[in-house]
Amino acid sequence: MDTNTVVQAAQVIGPHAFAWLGAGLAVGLGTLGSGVGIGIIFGKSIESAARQPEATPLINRMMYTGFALVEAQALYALLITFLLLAKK
Amino acid sequence: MGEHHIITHLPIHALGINLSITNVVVMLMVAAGLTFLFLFGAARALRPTGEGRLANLAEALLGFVQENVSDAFLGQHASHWFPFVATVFFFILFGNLIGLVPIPSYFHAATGNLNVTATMASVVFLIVQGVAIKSHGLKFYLSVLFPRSAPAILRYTLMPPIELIGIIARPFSLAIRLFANMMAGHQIIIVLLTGELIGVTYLLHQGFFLKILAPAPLIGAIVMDGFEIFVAFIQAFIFALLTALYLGEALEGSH
Repeated sequence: MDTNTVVQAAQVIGPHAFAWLGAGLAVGLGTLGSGVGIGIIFGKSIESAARQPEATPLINRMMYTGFALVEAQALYALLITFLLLAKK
Repeated sequence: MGEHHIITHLPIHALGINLSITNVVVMLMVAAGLTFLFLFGAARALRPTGEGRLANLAEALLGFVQENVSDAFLGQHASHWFPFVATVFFFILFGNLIGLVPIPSYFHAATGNLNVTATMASVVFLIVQGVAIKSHGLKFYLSVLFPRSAPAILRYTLMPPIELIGIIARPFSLAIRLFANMMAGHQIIIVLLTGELIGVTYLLHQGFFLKILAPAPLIGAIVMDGFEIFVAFIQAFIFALLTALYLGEALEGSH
């Protein structure tokens, strides 16, 4: 598939076709890293809470902090999606 | 994203800037008013005895902020900066929570607006830099940009751009994190309830599937609403935590 075919396909679909494609790709690929990060964070914190139950409040606090920071990365990608979708 | 119509209540144009009272401004005033009323009422309720429902609620929230945010990052300056951190926390909390009131097309989260979150992030950034300059002088930046904990090869070549980008990226990440969290949650609820995202009608609302699946978007919207309360608390906590973290770094010097 050379670039001419891709350009012709985009012209058939309509204007801003690549914007829609990019919007889908942005949030799709962006949540990959965030999902892995959240899995690691919660897995490790459950593991460490099981090893030392009396440290659970501290571990909980750090877990929620880490979760929000990692979730923000996926939302940066979602922001790009909204910016792309807002093109009329 | 056409669900936020700006309703201008009182047009004010001064010096070429549009200072009209719109519904966004009214939401901000509601958030600020709620913050003031809650904290003022909490102070009055806690003063004589500390009994009663508002006193208990305020003590729980303020104790949470003091223990987990202020004392954890600020050390000896905790009691000095705790009012600022607590105000940031409560303003963002109320700004997030008023977006959950179901009055259609008027009530939206005051923090679901990039202007609001960017302003808050800029204020925090300026205060942190001001505190750093005031307590360490301008040579504070020398110790940040050329960190002594890095080997001499990197200290003058690679670390300055990295540290500079790190400093510049902080207000951006604060603003975008809060804004995107609030906007994404409300967009999901809007899509589930009205079935319209950028003018494209959602399949479940077109009757494509069996009628028995029809309550699914409504149940999804209710579940997302509960999740939004959780996200509102977490985002306020994270913003206040990062504010206290940056303040602590500025106060005691880094590296």
